[in-house]
Amino acid sequence: MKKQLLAVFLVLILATLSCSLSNIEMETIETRTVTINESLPQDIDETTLTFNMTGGVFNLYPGSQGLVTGTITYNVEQWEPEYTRSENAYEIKQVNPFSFSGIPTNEVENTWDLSLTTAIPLILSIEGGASEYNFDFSGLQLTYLKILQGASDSVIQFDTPNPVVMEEFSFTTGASSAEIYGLANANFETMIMSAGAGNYTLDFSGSSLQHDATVQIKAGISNITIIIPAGMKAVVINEGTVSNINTKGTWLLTDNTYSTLDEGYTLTINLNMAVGNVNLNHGE
Amino acid sequence: MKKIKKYLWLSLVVLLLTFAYPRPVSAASLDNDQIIFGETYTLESGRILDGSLILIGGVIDIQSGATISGDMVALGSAGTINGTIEGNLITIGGTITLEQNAVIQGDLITPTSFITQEEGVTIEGDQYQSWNLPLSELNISSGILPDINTGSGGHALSIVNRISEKVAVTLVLVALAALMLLVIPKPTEVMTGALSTKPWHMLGYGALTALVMLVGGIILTITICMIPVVLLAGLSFGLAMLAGWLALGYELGKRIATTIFKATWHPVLSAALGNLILYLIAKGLQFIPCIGGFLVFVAALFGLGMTVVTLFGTSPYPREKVVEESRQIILNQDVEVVKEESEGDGTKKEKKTRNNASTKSDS
Repeated sequence: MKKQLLAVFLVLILATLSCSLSNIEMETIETRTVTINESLPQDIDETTLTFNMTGGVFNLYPGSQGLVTGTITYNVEQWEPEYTRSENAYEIKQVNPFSFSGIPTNEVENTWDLSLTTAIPLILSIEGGASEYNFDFSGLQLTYLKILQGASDSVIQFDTPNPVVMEEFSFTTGASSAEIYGLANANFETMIMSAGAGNYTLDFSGSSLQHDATVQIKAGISNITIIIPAGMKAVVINEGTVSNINTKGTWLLTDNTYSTLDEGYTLTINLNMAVGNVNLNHGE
Repeated sequence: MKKIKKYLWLSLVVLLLTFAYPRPVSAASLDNDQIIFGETYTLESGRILDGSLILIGGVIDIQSGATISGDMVALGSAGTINGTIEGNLITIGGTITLEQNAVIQGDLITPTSFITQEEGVTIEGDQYQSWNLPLSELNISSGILPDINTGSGGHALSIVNRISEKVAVTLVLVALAALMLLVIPKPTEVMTGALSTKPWHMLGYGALTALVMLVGGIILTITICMIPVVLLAGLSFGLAMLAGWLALGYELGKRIATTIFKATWHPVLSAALGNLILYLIAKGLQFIPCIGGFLVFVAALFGLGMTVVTLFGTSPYPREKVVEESRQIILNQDVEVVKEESEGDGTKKEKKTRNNASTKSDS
């Protein structure tokens, strides 16, 4: 019965579309897999890596023998990656991700599975559309990290410390769900997070802070969970009109500032949120 | 069944895109309105987008020297603007940074959003950070969708009056849906849960409610002295229709997120996107004589049924579920167990307290 009703509804919808029905699904081709094996640059102190993908699945992890190794698998012709190599920069880009016609279906594939070197410092920039991201930055030497993504589902982790100081970690996302673990290992001086509507978890676990660090969080309608491990000195300043802050563990509340009672380098979090929910968890 | 569902959702989106925007997916073309779902969008320096831009759950970068000739609407999105927007900039539930070269020639409307303005930003119109929507201006009872008072009465719907009615109605619905999800998330989930479990029951109850309201309303009106009751019932009926319609949009948004985008979005975004699409579908269906309006009415009955059956989301449906949950709650609590044992010459009563787990294993 359901099938028939759905079919009738479908026919009615199709009837409304008349001639505009052509090419509603994105056209796919036979799946292509490209192998990336980029050698380490010689006599270079630092390399800029830029990845610009359209929607899909993007896995990044450490341990490459070269600068970048791995595979890119896709089955939409327009998504053929372009590679640009200069003396101290390497870029993989899918040209004009908006230049396609039709709507992606289950058959569409675009999977990036890449491994990065831990041997040299990297300036890493990642831009992507509606995607699923699994980034393991453990042990990478990151001096600058920029992630810009649309509506995505992301898990980012720093399981072991970044050996170099990261000047800035910029994370900009649309309506997303993102979990970032081991942020104390990221060794950043400044983190800037700009987010639309979504669910976000920022876990500042990891090794002890090596210096003071600042986090600027700007968010629209969101639910944000901030996890501060035991022993970390943290100051969370609520500068927005956030509707609700829940605390877990011991926090000292003064005006709009929440502080842990620990000593050491300070993690300062400036919270600018329009509407939503913030959970401050301090480990005991 | 899965195949049908897939094409159904696909068709719904195409329907939306077809009616709302002639070339929606091809953002490379800059000579028309653009709608972008969940993507990153960059308008490079020197480029002109000859139309309006709607960004839903994405990331925007309007570079210095780039121009949008129409309005820009960003729902649940983030990004930076350093170029010129010749119309209004409207952001809901997002984060936007206006950099030093940004010029907004229209109004800046930013309810439930976080906006950073650098020095040098030019905003030629007015700025609004809240909706300023007096409820009395919404003529809810007159139909499924709230009518917008477009009169020039100074204070009335000041934001809405400044943007086109088409965009305004959409934004009001989106805002109401977002508000509903923020204020009463659980009742909304209960309502959509009822729809997922027993969709045709919802249609049936919705139709029955509408019929009762019609017949009952006529009878009570004839009595004259019961007219106040009719007015109250009418108001409740209108609220139920509106709540149901918004919940219906939320369910649509959730399904689009999971079916097409393979993602779980924040409920507020699902509600916003779903209601946007639902509204545009409803508008689109009106192009079909007779049947179009009827389909919208049927959709509204689904919503009405959800609201009525769940008593505005306060009571889950089907009811059997409640009984099961109640039992479960009782079993999980500590319970007194009275055990009777027969021992030789008489009966010995033993009374002890145990929890559910041990009770289960013992029995």
